[in-house]
Amino acid sequence: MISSGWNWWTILPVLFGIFFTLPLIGLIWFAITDGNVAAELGSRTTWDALQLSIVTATLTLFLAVLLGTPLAYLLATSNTGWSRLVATLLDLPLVLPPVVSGIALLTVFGRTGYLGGLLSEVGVTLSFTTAAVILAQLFVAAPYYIRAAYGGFTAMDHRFEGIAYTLGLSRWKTFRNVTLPLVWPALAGGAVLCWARALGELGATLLFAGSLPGRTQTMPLAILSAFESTAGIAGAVSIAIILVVSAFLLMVILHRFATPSGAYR
Amino acid sequence: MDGRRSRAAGAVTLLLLSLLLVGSCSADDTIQIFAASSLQDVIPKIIDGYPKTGDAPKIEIVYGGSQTLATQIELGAATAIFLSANSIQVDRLESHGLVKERMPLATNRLVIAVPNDSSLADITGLTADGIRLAIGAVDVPVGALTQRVFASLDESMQLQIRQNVVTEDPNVRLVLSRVQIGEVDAAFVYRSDVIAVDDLRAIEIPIDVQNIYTGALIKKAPVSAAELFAFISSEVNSSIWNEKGFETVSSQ
Repeated sequence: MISSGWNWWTILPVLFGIFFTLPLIGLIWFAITDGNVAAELGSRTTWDALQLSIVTATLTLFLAVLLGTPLAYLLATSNTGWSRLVATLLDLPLVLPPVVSGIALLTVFGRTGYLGGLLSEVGVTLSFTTAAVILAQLFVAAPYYIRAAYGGFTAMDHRFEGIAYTLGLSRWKTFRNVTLPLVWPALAGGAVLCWARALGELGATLLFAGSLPGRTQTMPLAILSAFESTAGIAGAVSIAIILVVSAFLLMVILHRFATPSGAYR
Repeated sequence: MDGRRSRAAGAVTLLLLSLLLVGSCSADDTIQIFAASSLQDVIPKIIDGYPKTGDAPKIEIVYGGSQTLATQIELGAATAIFLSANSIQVDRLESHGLVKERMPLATNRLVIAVPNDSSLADITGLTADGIRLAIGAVDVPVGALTQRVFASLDESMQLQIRQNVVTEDPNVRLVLSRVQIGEVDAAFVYRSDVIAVDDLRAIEIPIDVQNIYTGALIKKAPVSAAELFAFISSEVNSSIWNEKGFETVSSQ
């Protein structure tokens, strides 16, 4: 937009931007002045929760990429009505309130669920385990990655792949050397969203996996618990800052991987 | 976009934003009560019996874990009356100078809730391998009460039962829901919670620990709230408390 000085179209966006930065600044300032971050850094519960959160979110991302990339590719390259329907269905977890997602998971994978009931006959119970945390995170966060990957695969020019095949490259080599560099920014962006969403998940994990320190109490649950305890808002903010800083550092590292290193830019 | 249209767009935006602000202002003559989630079946019945005159204020009740509600009051929620599931949360508000008046209301006993067709008969059954238990988190009144019960058991029983705990939830109705949907085999909840539902029965705990439900009138509450508070804490409601599974405490 050609700059035209101060008017509604420049002031409102600036105000909107300030709206987003103020709470984060408030959080950091509160932590510095009224928080007890040092005490929380020494707390066993905080470290357990941080470790659990990072491990589960990363495993969730790993599964989302491993299983979601082929799915997104299939959906993007087939043109049937079925594929469009499935693509829309995959967006549903985005619309469901997280608590509802948790309840939905319980109805199927819970101990008395439709599939869970069968699983518990053979001694496998999913609910209230660390695996349940990952499943809940996967359900709510994977759609972000799949959408982004789907967008990337739809937008790319598939003729390059055709050319690679005619030149004799195998499917896997084609995917690795031709397709991937073309869609890398989309995949990386989706991966960051997916990981961040998984890290922040609260409602679905609380319902499906419960909250037990050390096993299923993720950082968001630990922060909520601190908020409601006598530690109050000071305790919650202190733990929250640890999460924010850790997530920020890890996202910086993820972004490093996200910059395209292939020949095609 | 020319000057006239951008001014119009700005005016519409301002109008929408101000509607947002107006919508968030609450009516002045509403009395807001914060009540523990375990009181969901008792308080509406008590309020129904409150003699209301023509210009009586509206009464609004918000339920939650007592510890959550206490935090919100500390942070400035404009509540007039706080009905907590234990005295600790009221002590907490008192130490911040937020309590004008306080009264014990009733007591609630901790029980073990199991499905009607469960084979569990007493607390020792909870030590078995593979049993799944749900309890409240340590800061929730029902969770704190559960910890007191655990602490008074002998060590090996305490250890075995603790190993079977799969979740420490932030409010008692969530704990109850776990056993209602069959995800856990037993849950430590209040007797009043078991009475409120049809599909569960209560196993008594042979240890005498109870939570004392305490009502608090918050500073800056309007005069009409003080009258309502006096009514809620009066003995005339004892039969309602008893009917719902609570035990009444005679006033000091």
